[in-house]
Amino acid sequence: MIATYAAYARVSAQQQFQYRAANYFFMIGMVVEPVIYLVVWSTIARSHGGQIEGFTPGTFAAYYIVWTLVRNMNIVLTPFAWEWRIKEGQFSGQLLRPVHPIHEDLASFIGWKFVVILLWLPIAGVLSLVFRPELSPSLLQCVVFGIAIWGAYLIRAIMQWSLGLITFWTTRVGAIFDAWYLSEMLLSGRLFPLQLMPDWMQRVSWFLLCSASGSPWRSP
Amino acid sequence: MSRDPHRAGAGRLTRTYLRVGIMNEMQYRVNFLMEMVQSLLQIGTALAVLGIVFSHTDTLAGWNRSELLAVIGVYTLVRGLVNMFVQPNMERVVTEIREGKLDYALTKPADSQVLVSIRDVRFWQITDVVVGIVVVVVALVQLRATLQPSHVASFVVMLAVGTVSIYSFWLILAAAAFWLIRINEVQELFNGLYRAGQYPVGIYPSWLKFGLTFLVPLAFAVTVPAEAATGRLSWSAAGIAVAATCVLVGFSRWFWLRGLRRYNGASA
Repeated sequence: MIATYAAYARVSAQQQFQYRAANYFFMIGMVVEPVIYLVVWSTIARSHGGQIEGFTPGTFAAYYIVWTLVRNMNIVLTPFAWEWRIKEGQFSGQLLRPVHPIHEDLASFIGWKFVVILLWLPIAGVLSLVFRPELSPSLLQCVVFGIAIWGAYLIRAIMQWSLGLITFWTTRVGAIFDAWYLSEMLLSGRLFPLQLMPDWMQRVSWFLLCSASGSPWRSP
Repeated sequence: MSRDPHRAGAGRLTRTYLRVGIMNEMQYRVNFLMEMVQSLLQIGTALAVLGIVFSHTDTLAGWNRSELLAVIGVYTLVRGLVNMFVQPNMERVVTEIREGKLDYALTKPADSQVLVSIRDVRFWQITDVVVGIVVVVVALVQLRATLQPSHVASFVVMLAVGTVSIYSFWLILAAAAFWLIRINEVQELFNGLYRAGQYPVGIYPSWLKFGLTFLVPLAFAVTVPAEAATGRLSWSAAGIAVAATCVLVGFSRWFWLRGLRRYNGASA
């Protein structure tokens, strides 16, 4: 199974690396969103004496720059792709293979992540020069982050794969998927750190595990 | 120079495609309900975010809660217009350039840019337009704004100018496919950049403000119409918006024609 995963991941990485411009288009689209929120919250922090709920413009910058990596690492096969697969009958071919289709999906996206990380480095460099993040993690924290981010990818990939299975029963699922995505956006720390939310929202977030696939850090 | 008598006029062509597109969409009426649910979910999320932002502050870079609500309304309204008329056509152009199927449009006796810009209409995206208008009206009621005809007229004009500027920007993105070939992800790029429009561009640092005004014309598409609706628009800002949009229209036309010269097609 490890050899299968490695083969799928290698093919996917090689394929994605051929389309660097397309990947940058995709990544810049993903990076704009955290930059917006970084600017909004930094503006609020500055107008409130330099900090809000313990976050300064520097720590907001660190949060959202790390978040650009988290956002790209959390890209998985979406239920919308499932909708297309089932509508177009593309899934039949995949079912005939001797390996369960989830493995190809998981492994292909894992391969893509390596290209994403490589392409993300210059973006992070530019953002750091512009927004001056305050971040000094220990080696142990970096290791924990590395494990957590891959775990978050797996959690989100399996959640979205399970959600995509709804398309076996109905192919008009855009509204259901949107409801999921929007609640995830609100509760995962994607729009703002969980600490800025009302208490009840933070509790809902932890209960629903949204924070597991989203929030890249918790402040002490 | 005499005009080709077989070449279809842009106005008549647009009306015909629009009618066919709407008739086509009318066959799938349940989609209206689906789109309405999606529009309401999205506006609900935007309002929740607005609520959380304003639970920590009273103003954001000089904009109060009701004024920002107007910005969100215009953002939703323009998103509806773009998703209804612009985005489906431009996504189709990108796909057809990659697959070499643009020949079918180029061989028709009509202007290629006009033709590729009017072939698809996603009529049910009108739900975003309706929701956007409702939110703008609610914001104006909260602001206790006395609605003057001049404000309404400038809002409508600026909305049209902004939508044209977004169309031109999308055309440039789509025409980039002549050089880069596989840019399916361009819609993610546009959607990501467009999200910056849900806040007035004045809150961004100057380099980003410049980019969101002259490179990605979000300032003209969302902030300027929102300023017109809330009575904050100056004549100079309106003049710059109109002039910059004219330049963008001219540049996108030139870029499209230049890209066409690189196109080989699948059958060539």
